[in-house]
Amino acid sequence: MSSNVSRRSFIKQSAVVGASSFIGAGMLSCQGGEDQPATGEAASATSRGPRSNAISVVTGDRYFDNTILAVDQIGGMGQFVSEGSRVAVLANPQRNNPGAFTRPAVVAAVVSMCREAGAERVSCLSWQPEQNWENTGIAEAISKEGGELVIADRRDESLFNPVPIPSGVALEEARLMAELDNYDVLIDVPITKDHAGNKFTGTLKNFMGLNSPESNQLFHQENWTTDIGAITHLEQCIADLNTVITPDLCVVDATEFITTGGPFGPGDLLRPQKIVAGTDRVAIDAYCCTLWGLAPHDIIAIAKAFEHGLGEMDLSKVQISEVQA
Amino acid sequence: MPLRTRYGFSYYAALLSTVGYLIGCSSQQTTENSLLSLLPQSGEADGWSPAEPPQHAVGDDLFFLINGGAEVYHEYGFEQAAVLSYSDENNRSLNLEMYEMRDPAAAYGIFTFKRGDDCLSLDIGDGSCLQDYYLNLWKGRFLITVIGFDTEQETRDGLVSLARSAAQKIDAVGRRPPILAWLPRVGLDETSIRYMRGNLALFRSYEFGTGNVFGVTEGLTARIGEQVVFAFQYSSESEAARWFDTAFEQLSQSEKFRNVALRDGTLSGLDPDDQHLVGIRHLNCIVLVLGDEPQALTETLGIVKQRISSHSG
Repeated sequence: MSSNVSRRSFIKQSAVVGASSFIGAGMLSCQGGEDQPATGEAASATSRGPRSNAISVVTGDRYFDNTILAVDQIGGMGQFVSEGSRVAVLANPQRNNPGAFTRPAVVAAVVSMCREAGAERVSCLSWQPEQNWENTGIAEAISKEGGELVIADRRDESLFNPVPIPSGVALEEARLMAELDNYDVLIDVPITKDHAGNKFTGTLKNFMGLNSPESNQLFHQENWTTDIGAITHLEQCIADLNTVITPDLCVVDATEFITTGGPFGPGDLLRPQKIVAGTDRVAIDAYCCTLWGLAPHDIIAIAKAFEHGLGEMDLSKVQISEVQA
Repeated sequence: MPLRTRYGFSYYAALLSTVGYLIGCSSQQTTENSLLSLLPQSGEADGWSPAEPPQHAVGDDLFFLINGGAEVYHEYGFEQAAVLSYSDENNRSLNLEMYEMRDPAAAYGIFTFKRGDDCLSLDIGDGSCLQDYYLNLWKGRFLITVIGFDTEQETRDGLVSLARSAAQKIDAVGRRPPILAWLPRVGLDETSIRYMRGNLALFRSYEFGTGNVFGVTEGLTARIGEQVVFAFQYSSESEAARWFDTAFEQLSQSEKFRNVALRDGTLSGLDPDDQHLVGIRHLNCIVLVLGDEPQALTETLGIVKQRISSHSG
């Protein structure tokens, strides 16, 4: 796919072009100009891969191999990444506490598959400090597979593009990493785990990792109010944010994660040893929350995302393919 | 494998730089300096040395450090935090987090929020709990969490060693919040006590509903035998009465609770797991007990009521 002619954007609505610079591996420069969608232009969010609520689940302790198997079960990475693609990967490097970050082998497998599918460039995008990527081992793992790390200075708002959210209920505007516009494919690679406020985090909430920290703070009520209304607000904002980001593929690390003390840990660890892959993020989150006894309809973000039409939360309507590897 | 290089000179340069900046600022930032000086240094913790410069956050910046985990710290009352990694000569690693809270009750509260139910109490600080791969302790206004990457004995020894070293550097002594005296002593599971200062801590302990059911600003929960006690304190009797009415109204309208009734000042109902719930308003407090046997719940309610009376003004 030619980047100049048919570059897809992950952003449904337009973004104001901002001059930006990034720190991290390679000191990249993010370009504005003709390759950026103009203000008011609705960019395509059509995904190239299969769009269904089918999800694949592979259980076992060979995490790298099982990640590949999970993606193969839904058609293989070639369904999502073509020759010359530029792939953005969103992993979770929050902290190297056990069960609090995406396992390096899972991210490495995703990068490896993308490269094998012919991707020209595979980058983990983040505003988390580079130290987190190093301490978690993800930086080294992706480097070995030919991927790179692209980190935006989280305090530099010019590196984030304002993106209106027309169907937002609680959030009117997102501020997404401008660097995102330089990629053709977006792969969401979170760890599923506990969260202090909403009890669950997975594919949906992971996209706060592309939204600017300053904007993310709006997800939390003023003065850190923590009543249930604040939790609902946070969850609604997460669902709203997801209306302007469409991942091509989600690969979730559910191998070992905290079920208490989230999202930072430490906490009680559960080891389902599962890799979950698919394109329906709502269905995937609905499945993952059941791994530790939560009901999808009790997770507000899942219910709100379903209301937005972002996917299926009724697991009886989801085609789940489970493999023991 | 994670990179956990010993930083040597660069570590100390970074630390000195940070401390130097802090010294040059306001009196509050002198406190920040104090926090960093409380972190165990090389030679202070049985062979454990800092492996990286500490990450530090003050006030709202905690969000940058621990993202969504920040809310509950703010609910309890957060001042500042530092996190860093340590390593030993065998290249074993531990993480240490130190949180300075607004007051000792806040430190005790977040300690009870973070500790698990099945932990081993140790004689470190004002209270500590060792779990399979991590340890929480509180002392004065500080909460310290030390985290390992496996459950081997050497790692667990390291957790204790680093925790003791950090606790020894804190002079202050904290006292548990007075409302803990409300809890019956017989049958009390000490490690189940959760001291709360807001709705989030309650929400994570038990879901009464999707509204602001009790307007919690201070309270606790604990297991007493097979029962669970909840007690909330308000600024006045009228405030407690108002929230008691609100709670009755919300539980009555709840889809999860059934048979909710209010007779002679006692609230009763059945929760989604068919557990009986009884509750009263007493003085400036609301007390609820959850369990299987309604008669036993009423007895526990009476004991807590008596203890509140004997410990009130």
